[in-house]
Amino acid sequence: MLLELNNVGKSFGGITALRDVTFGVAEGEIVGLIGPNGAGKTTIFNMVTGIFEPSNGHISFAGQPLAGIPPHKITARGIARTFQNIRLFGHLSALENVKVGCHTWTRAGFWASLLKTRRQREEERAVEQKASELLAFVGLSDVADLRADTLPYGQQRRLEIARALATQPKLLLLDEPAAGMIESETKELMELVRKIRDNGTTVLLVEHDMGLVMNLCDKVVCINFGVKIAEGTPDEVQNHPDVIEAYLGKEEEAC
Amino acid sequence: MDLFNPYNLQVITFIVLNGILAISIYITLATGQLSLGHAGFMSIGAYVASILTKQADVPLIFALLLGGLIAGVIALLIGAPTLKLHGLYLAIATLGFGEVVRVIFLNMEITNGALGITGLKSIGSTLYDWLKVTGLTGDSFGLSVLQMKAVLTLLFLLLLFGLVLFLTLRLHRSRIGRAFEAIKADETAAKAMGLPVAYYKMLAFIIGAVLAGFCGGLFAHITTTITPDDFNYHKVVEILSFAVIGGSEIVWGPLFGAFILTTLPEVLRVLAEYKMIMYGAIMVLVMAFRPHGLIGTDTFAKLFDRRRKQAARQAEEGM
Repeated sequence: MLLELNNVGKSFGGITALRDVTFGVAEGEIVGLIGPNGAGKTTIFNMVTGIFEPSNGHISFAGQPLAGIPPHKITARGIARTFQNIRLFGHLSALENVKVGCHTWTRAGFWASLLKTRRQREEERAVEQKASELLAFVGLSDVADLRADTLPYGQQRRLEIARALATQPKLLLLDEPAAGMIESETKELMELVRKIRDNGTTVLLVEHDMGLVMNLCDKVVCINFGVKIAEGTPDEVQNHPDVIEAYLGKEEEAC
Repeated sequence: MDLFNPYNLQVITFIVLNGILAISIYITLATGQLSLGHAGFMSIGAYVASILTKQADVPLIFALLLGGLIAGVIALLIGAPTLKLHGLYLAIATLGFGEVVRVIFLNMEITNGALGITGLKSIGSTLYDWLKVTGLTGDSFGLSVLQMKAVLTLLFLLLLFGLVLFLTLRLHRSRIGRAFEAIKADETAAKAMGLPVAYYKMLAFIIGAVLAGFCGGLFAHITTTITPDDFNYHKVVEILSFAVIGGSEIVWGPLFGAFILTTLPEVLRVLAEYKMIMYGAIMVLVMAFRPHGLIGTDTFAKLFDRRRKQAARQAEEGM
């Protein structure tokens, strides 16, 4: 397993957001994390990326525990993410945004940057090239020099993915990547996620668009009120009585 | 207007000095940190450099560099506990720091309390002495000794300013500059991209402090007299205004702000007692119509856009 959550729980003050959640993400998989609003999906993302510490249980990545490691070092270890409410560096160009993502695998420090050493210049060229490649990969080459906050919504979502890929992650976390997208855009997104996986990056995504989840994912984990209620192939989860109840309510109530 | 009038030369010198100060506040603001400690760092640099040249006969350039360096070390020490603070909280903490520094200098023996340090050897005199060694004097250029000293001071500052601006622009176009910009835009996203945010904020804070300390040393050796009151709350506001009036998105903003705010009082001198009213009114108008400062990223975009359109029109006409 590339990512393993073992009995992970999280409470904020007296409120338990997540209770004893256990699941794993194997290398090369696309795993979907679903559940109604407020179920604790984004909380899981925030704990995996080090923004919150789990209250109990532990998370390990590539066999190493993640406890106590600050967010930027977790990114350096190979976990990158996008955000539910897009968080681009708005006043920078699309290309610059992706270049920022190249920070983890570049080394030029303060003095090298001031003196513009040969290594620094070579590194800058490598960053420039990598960033352009990634923009081409997500189909944003045309808008490379435009300010990120002037791009249309769908392009901003793809730019966030390119920026996350720039960190050269082993695991990519996508938080509602299809939110607010029209059908054609969602289709393109699914193609993109498949390409990412085929290039060797494992994907864990939170998504409400069931069409996308069921078509795209190898495995689906469903949580409700902070508890895992189902795990398995899309078909298994879709037909699981607890999942149906979580989304549609009980039959008696429906009557 | 006689350009070589020592008074005019000194005004231009102060524009250049304030230009370096503007870069100092710009770099700290580039990571989104509102620091009001720049006058404090400036005073540390000023006193360190002054004491070194006056009492220990340290060569001017080393004294200036040491002044900046020690301001940087102090920044490291006070940055450790305060840089966790954001926005106005950081502003208040650094403002407090500046006041503490001022009161310490006011009460120390070596700084001569409220009377301050006087009779420093000016940059102009030091440079003029060097020039005399080569056999040149003011007469060689048809200038008086006073004019020559003023010209030398200005040239020295222009050289330093050019160097600082050059390095700042270099830094801006590097991995470090990108990290600063990303942190200013969104700290959480910056962390998620693998940026050690605390390190970069500290770095920007220290660079700002070193430059401010360096400016302090320069200031002391231009005016030849310093007192703790030269670096009080008014100085804080003055430095911050460079960035507020000029804009803080790109380095040209604070530089333009420094230029305007240093020139304006001189230009408005003809208005005599109405000077400050006019000065205030201009500030209010700028804030009303350009709340993000006079110069922003859009300023140059528009300029280039217009040029591009012109070029396109010319190309069309040519066809």
